[in-house]
Amino acid sequence: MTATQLEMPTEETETQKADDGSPDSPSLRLVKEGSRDDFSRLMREHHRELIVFAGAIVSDCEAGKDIVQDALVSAWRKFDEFDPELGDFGAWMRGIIRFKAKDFFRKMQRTPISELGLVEMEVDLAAWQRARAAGTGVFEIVENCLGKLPEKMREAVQRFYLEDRSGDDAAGVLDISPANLRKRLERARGLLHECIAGEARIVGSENG
Amino acid sequence: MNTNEDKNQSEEPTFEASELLMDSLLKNVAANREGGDDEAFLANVETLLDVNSAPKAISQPGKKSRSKTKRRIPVWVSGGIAAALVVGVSSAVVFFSTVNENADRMIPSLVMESGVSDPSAPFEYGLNESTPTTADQLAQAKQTQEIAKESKDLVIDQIGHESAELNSIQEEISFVEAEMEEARASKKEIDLALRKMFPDSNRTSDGVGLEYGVPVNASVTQTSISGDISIASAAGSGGTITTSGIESDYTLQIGLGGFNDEGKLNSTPDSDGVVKIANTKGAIATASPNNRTRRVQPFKKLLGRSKKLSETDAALPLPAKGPRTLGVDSQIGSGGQFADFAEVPEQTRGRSRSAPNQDGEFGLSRTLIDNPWKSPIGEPLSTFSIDVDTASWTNIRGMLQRGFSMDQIPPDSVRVEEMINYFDWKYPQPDGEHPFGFAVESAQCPWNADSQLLRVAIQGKDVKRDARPASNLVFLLDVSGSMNQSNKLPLLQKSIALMVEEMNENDCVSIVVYAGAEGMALHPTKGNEQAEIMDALKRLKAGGSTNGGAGINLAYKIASQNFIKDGVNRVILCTDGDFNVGLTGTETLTQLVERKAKRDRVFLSVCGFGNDNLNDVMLESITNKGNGTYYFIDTIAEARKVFLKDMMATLVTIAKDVKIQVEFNPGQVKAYRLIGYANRRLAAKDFEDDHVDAGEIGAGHSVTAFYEVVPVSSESNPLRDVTSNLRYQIEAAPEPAPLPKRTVIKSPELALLKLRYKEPDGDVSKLIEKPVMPNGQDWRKSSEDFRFASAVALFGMKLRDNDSVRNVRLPEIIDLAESGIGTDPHGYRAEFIKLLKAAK
Repeated sequence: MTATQLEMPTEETETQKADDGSPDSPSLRLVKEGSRDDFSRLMREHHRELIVFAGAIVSDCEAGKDIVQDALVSAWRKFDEFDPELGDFGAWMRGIIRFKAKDFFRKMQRTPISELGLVEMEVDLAAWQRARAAGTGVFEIVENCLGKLPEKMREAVQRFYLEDRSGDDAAGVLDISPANLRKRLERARGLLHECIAGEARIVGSENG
Repeated sequence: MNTNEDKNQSEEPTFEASELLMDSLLKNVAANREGGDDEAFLANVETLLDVNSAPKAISQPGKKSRSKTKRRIPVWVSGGIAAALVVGVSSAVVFFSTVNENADRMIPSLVMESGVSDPSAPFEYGLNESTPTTADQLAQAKQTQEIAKESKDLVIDQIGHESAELNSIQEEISFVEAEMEEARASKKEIDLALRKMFPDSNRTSDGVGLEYGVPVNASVTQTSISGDISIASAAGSGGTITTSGIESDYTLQIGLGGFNDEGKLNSTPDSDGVVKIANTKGAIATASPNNRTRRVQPFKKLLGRSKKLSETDAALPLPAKGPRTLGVDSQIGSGGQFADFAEVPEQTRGRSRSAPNQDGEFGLSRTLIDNPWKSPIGEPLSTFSIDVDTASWTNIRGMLQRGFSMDQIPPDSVRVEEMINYFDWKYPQPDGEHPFGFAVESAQCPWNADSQLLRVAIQGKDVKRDARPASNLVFLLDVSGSMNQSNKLPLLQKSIALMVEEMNENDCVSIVVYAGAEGMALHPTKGNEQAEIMDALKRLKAGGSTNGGAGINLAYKIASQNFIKDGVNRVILCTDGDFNVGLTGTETLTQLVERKAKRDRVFLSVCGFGNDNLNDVMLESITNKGNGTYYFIDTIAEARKVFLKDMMATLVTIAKDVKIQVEFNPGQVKAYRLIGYANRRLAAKDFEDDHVDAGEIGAGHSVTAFYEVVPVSSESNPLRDVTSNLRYQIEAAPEPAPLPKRTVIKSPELALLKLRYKEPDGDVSKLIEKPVMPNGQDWRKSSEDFRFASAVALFGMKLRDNDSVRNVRLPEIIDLAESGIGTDPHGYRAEFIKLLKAAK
């Protein structure tokens, strides 16, 4: 919050208390002192969600991974500049990723995702983060939510995403048209989003 | 194995942010299950961290120190390096090729082997397995690796850059092709439409040109079109356009020469983007991107966006009078749309209606156009959406208090229906099954003895305050720098505090702020935890620019997360101005607000503060779509009215999508016009279409509309064709009498009033009907409410410079208002009269 002089907790600062990257965390102090092991541990805790985040921003998983890799190196190099008072490690990393993504869009001459979209994602990520702090990662939640999907949608997700098939291929296996598959996947993503947001909220709130 | 590109190409175009996130998440689920890919990624990063842990500049003879600017290292490269380090003296090799153009910046060729190189070896950075390994040498080896990686990155960047350029060129080609295709489609549509409308016109086509002639002897010829697109049109009986040797990409020539014999336009355009227009006198205006003599969009833009074209054309010279021949002229868009100047009411042609926006474009799309007179034979139905906003009068009141003269008040800020809504009316409470009561009254029109004034009002039923449902309110507060004035943020804080005092344990209050960035100022808090809420309010400080787009989305998120079923779920936006960062387009914002109202059932209310930076039109526009209301707050007294009375009523929504349709009886009515509701009109068919949105109404709210009606017995006829007896023109050919489609049924009724509404959570509308009988009583005998409301409407029309009341003087309006002041318990009416008396 650059110009707004708000003297109140933000969503992130609330959550950081429960996160290992909080200012009170001994591990973070070690990291600040230059402990590679602890930086690695924080990286291993956060990297999956960061890859998901970056992949979502640039709509490309592999490019997303490259961006996260790049961002982690930057983070390590500039770790002296990291101020845990301003947010937890995940939030700090996401800031770097957003910056890297801008470069990516510029290089690729693509239209960047809207600020609005980024905000929407940040809200979701904050909920995931709270859930993770409570001991449940988003991948556990998504596995649970996948089980709750109606069968046809679950099958579509299985063929397209989990078996990594092309749209046409997955549609062929399911014996439906590609348009129908797209519709099912769209609905599945919508339901999953609601389910994950809901469960993350519940898990996060259980943690206090 | 499929590429992500395949998936992205097939899915991306329709993705929203949440979908993108789910898409990315699902793409990572399989990797997460397997774990292998994950470990490889982490190992790569660990290696990079090792390499980057002690970055130092390398100084080599004959080479400049390299910048430490970090470059992205592809995963496969770092993997190779990791392998080299792990295997020690094995033969792991990473090979980088030569790039001659960058020889001075790059290592010509580099072979990295495990070990350290002989200093005399041709590749000074090479490592040789025969050389003993020391700590220093290993450090040097690492530095060598870094340089190698940077060199590789330079190559990759170069390739990427050239590849991106190639992509860009290909995209450009695709874009041009798509544009050409669109132009061809437009031409086809326009041609078809024109041929149907004007079978006698002469047109000659050559190349990708559009040409059409409007009526009788119009003739258009184009030859040798070598550019992309050219349009030529000739309008009128003598209109002729002849062009030749067109070499430009975009050319638009329009002749409106139908009104005299000079309407000819013969030209040879020879430069890009030329727009030539001949007006009624045959004068030619030329505009081009580089030399604009008028506000004319570059033609390329016009083709792309028909809406923009219609905005632009309004700035072009209009015929002095409504054309007798159809004004099918310059309204061309990609969809081949046409508009008739004759449709534009006379009163819109006066002073400028709106200031240019930030792009210097005149926002005519924002211009409110008063409802014209209509005949009940041709157009028996008048349909509009209700409006319970009150902001317009508060805004106007502020301007008058600050000494604005009537001429200085922007006509677009005057919305007559909102002015009327501001005041309290004593309409009867409903007593039937429906949550509305009608209050219909008519009398002789106070400003025109030849017509009658019909007031159509509806009154929403009152609900006791303690019976209101639980509320989930998210205040979205603008804390940008401009809010740092006493009549803005401090007033906003006090205003919200007033409302919060009415909250209880069933309610949920959240505060989202936005300025340079958005954020939570108060997490969802129960309404009875007032100390916490008040504390958050007190802590608000202003500073920064306005990023409303991001803030509004966060606010909706919070509202959705705390959704109360069967309760009130509402975002209340408090701002002094525009959304000048982020989502800037009104249309984008409006779509967002509309979507949230429809899909998530979270509605929006807007409270405007201050008056120096207020984007009044946009704020009103987004509430129209958000099933919301728009208020303007300039004093604490006004805050009490809005937050304690009006807003609390809004919290108890009794109906949504409320539409009114009045069917006028041609047997009783010669002409009619709706006063106000200029941007609330609906098509007649929309009345029964439950998919079409309309306004919502809260408990105790009332809605008032006035119709000026000319009875059949009157000698006056506002629809009279003033051009029917011209000295210099005669009708080209008598038109055959149209076959009667309908027969007028004899009925004493003046009109039939119909209202449709949906229950707050319903999707199917209900219909209420009420016939209206004529009443030509003297207006002095009408109710006080009727007289005062008609004075407010009259003053509003006067401010809008409406033709029909141009001769009405201010003292007459004051007299009319004073005759209807009544008991006026809050002093609102007295204040209105006082301001009118001081108005200049």
